[in-house]
Amino acid sequence: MIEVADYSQSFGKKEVLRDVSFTIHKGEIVGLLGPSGSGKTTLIKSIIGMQRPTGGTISVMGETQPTLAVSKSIGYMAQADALYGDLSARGNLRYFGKLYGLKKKELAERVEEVLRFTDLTADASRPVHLFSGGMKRRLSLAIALIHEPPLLLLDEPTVGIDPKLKRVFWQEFEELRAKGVTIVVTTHIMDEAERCDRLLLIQDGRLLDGGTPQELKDEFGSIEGAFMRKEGV
Amino acid sequence: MQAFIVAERVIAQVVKDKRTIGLMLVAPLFVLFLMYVILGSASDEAAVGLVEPPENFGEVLARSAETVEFGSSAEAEEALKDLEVHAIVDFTGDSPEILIEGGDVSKSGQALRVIRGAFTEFAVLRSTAVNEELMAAVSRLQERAAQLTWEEAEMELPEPAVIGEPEISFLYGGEDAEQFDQLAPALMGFFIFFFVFIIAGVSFLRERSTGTLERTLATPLKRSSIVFGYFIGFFLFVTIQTVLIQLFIVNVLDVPQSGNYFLLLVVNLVTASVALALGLLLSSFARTEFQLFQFIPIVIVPQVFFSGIFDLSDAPVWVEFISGIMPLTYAAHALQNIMIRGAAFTDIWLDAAVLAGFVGAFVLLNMQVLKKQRPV
Ligand SMILES: Nc1ncnc2c1ncn2[C@@H]1O[C@H](COP(=O)(O)OP(=O)(O)OP(=O)(O)O)[C@@H](O)[C@H]1O
Ligand SMILES: [Mg+2]
Repeated sequence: MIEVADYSQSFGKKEVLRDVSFTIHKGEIVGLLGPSGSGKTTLIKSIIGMQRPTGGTISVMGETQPTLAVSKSIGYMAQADALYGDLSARGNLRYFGKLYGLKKKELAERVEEVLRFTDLTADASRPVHLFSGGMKRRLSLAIALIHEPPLLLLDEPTVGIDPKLKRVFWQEFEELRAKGVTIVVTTHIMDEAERCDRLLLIQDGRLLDGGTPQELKDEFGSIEGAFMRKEGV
Repeated sequence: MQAFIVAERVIAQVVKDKRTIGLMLVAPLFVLFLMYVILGSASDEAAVGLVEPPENFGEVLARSAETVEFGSSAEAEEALKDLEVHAIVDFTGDSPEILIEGGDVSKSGQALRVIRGAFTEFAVLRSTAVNEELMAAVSRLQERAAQLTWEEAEMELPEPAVIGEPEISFLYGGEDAEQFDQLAPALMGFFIFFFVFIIAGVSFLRERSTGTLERTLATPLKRSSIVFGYFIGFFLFVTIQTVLIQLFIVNVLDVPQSGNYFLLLVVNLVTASVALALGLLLSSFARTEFQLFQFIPIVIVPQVFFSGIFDLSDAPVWVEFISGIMPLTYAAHALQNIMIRGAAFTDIWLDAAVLAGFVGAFVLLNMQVLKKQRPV
């Protein structure tokens, strides 16, 4: 699904990621862990093709990024909510749905479906600038799901969301995985990390370990332990 | 087709924002109306003081200015200082003396103009009278000569040099054409340029800073479609703006319109495209709305000077050069020619082509800048 080979990314003189290589298979939920500023968002953006890698290659579903060819297959939830405040929740969903090529009937159905799933049906007609932080987060996720993409890239999807809804989200992620959807999710939260099939740790611009949460736990006692050890705390 | 999706969203956003739509549609009408009232209420009548004027001079001058007669030079100068009159013509000396107030530039200029005109007319009147007197004297002489010699005196008489009243007609417009009539088309172009620049620039800047631009570009949308989407969306507003402004200035403000409405719309749309493309472009060099507004004194204000409000025929070469790179120069030229002179497309195509060239250049630059957001 995703193949990253010797990928490096720098901005001007600042090198953020160096020689990163990994593979993500279809139907996996992969957690991307790393301290703030380590380059998680940078990696995600390169995978969706928003920037050209300064070194190495990234290919998604057999296509080398950046390309428009696979954008339709990717659902993306940015770390900062990118929503049109003047438009309603439904307006935002319809706009992005159309950009992904959904046609009338399908669009209307999908909009209602993702609204229901993110529990926003009651507020669907209100302008988004009146939404709370968590509601905006939910709408961002709804937009990522609107076109039923086989690959989901979620940059800290559960920040500002209450525990109950968080559980609903993770149940949905697992259901999607069962349908063969691949999910990459960045997180700081350990119990979320534990629900991933595999974890990628980024530290000092390097990809440190790939392993299942269990493997990391066995080696370091706990996932936090892995973190601490690596950070040298 | 993707551009239409973006256009629909841009339109929805502007329509939801009542203030913006109000600003775009009502503000130009309000400012045009103000301008109309202000230009219409400025009196161009200058007052001229006269001291011991010769016969008829006062009457001639009174046709184009208010005249006041004074008994002495001192009295007249006092009135000049009090701004009761703007100039004095003093005939007490050997030759007439003209004293101009000079503080009120336009009135003083007007006064000087009418005084000069009056002197010319007065001179003509005088020479005509002298002519006639001479002719009469010559006739009398002829008669006397005939009586003395019993013979007609052979003498070729010149035709008296009398200049008849000239007939005045206008190629365009008419005698009651006002300054505002000439400004109105150019102002329309300016407003369209200004509002499209500001609103499109701010919208795009917001898209950039809230991340919606990036999010939109993460979809299969092509970079160019987002720019053209903005074009299509704003075309709708510019069309409405054009119709409203035209209805207002023609029906309410009585500005004569002898041109083709469709042609006006075309020029307005091209002008708006320049403003839009420029607004989008400059918004990428601004981090905040405040920074975007800092472009106004550099990009927008100088354009006012070239939009036909000021006469630039005597300007130095470098000003002409600047005028040449200002889009509004071409827009104002085309709009004035259409509205005042009823120009056809064959008369204004060059202006339109230059404007289209600006659009093309700015759009290409925009594409280049958007590559930073998404490389493909
Ligand atoms: N466009 C850019 N230009 C310059 N530097 C950048 C750019 N984007 C990211 N960086 C730098 O790259 C580094 C990694 O940033 P990134 O956003 O990927 O971190 P992150 O792991 O997502 O952090 P967080 O957990 O806080 O979201 C930071 O030091 C940031 O300053
Ligand atoms: Mg991040």
